[in-house]
Amino acid sequence: MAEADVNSEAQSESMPVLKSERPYGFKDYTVVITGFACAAWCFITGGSLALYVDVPTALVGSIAGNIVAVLLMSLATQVISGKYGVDAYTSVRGILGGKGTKVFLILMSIFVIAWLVILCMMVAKAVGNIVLGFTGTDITTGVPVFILSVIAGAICWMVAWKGPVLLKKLNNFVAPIFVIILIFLFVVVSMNYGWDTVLSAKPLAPFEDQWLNFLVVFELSMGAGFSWWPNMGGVAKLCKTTKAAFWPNVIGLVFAATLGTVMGVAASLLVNSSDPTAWMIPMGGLGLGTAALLLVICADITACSVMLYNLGIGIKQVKTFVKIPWGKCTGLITLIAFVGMIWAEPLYDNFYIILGISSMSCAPIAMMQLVDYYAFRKKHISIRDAYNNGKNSKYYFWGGFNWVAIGVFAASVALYLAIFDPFLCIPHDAFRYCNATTAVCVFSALAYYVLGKLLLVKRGIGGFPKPNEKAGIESNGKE
Amino acid sequence: MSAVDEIRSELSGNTNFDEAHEGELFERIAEIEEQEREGKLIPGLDKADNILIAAMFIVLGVLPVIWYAVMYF
Repeated sequence: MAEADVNSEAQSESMPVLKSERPYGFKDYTVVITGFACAAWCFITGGSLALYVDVPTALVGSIAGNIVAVLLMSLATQVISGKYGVDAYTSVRGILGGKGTKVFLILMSIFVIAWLVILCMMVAKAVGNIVLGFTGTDITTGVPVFILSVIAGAICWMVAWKGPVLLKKLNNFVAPIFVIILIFLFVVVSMNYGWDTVLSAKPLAPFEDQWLNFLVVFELSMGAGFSWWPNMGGVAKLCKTTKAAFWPNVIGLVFAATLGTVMGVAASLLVNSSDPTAWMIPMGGLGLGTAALLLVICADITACSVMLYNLGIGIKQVKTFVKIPWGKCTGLITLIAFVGMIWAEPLYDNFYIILGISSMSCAPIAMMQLVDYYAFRKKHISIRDAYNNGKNSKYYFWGGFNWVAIGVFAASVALYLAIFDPFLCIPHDAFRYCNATTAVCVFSALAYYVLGKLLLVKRGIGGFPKPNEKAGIESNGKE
Repeated sequence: MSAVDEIRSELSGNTNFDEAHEGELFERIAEIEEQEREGKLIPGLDKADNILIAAMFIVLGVLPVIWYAVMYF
């Protein structure tokens, strides 16, 4: 890919999108977000939920957790990004500050790399299960699966490096492929097992306490909902109206994703495994199962390449990376992913870690964004200050960092860890009374409101309108 | 001084954009600010949306948790 092209594309991607340029109406965005939601992550999430609950409870818990998270997150990201045509990382500058946002972008990049690692591991496990089905040789664990993951990562890098045009075309097939796999699972479950068997199947490794099992599912589903935060602004800014940017999220990220997740729970319970690649052959037989696994491989390679490409574009928006060639830039990300693949197997087997970390990192940011936008800024952000890295920006705060928001974020993470251990999925004593993400949502909103009012609004730091001043733009174009 | 010139003098060299793209950025910012001043920017959600959001939040998000709490806590 020509270097000038990729640099140009990286810069174009972060431009604010004008009202007249936006391509997505309500229906268009519903299709896009539903395709986005019904992907590999639904099945893996379903595999995690199956550890704790049966299918009916998974359905209720998944909808409840997702709706709470998606509504709160969308009220923050979709409304601002839809109104001003900017992505999440531009809109959040008024909360974290310019440099604070860059640090958060790096944290989120690590999160995306973790996703790359998981998808590559899924490809490796799918290949391993095909080999196991045909030859009886088990290469689904240990060194062989690590080597297969590295090969999958290398293929994704080649695709992202050499064929972005091809990549964009391939991306159109990812959603239909997963719909086919979803239909495959539904038909196989209905014909080979029957829904009575599915509905009465017991969870794989539940706690003794039913309330805890439900609450863990609610917690992980909130994590799944909040995990969309980094991606949402980028698509919301392409929507023609705020309604079109908001409501399809509920259709796609809550209802469609829950459908995929519940199919994942059903398959997990029937095959007694939380690994989606282990379901297909036992459920559909060698022929159909292999075909389904090949579809999974194609879809995961494409999804992984798209994520790598988008992350590369994101990194290219930072001035330091502009001069680094595209191949090296994406290669660097892939190399980091290769290192991460050492821990890929435990991460893949314990996918709830990703959901927990999503909640821990995205929920406080979304809640502070809600308080900032609706309570402090009265539904107005200064777009020119959001793009200004200089000291004269209203969003410069203290050296480019809003230490109030960063402090609340750090305290929220500590609170989360005090209530729930996301790495082992072990709830602490307080969890029975309030799940970690709900506690973090309430705490971060209240703490940012009180501290922000005292340390930012009243002291005139951060470009907030003064108490009796109506937010908006004065005649000279400034707030 | 036009709005674009004013933005240029304030932001030039302080964005993540190179010179070739900064001009386009400033024009877009000026247009969005003008639309906001004139009330022509895309409006947010309305009252009906807010009522529906609150209803969904309570019925689909809060009540199921209370229901399970009553059954199992």
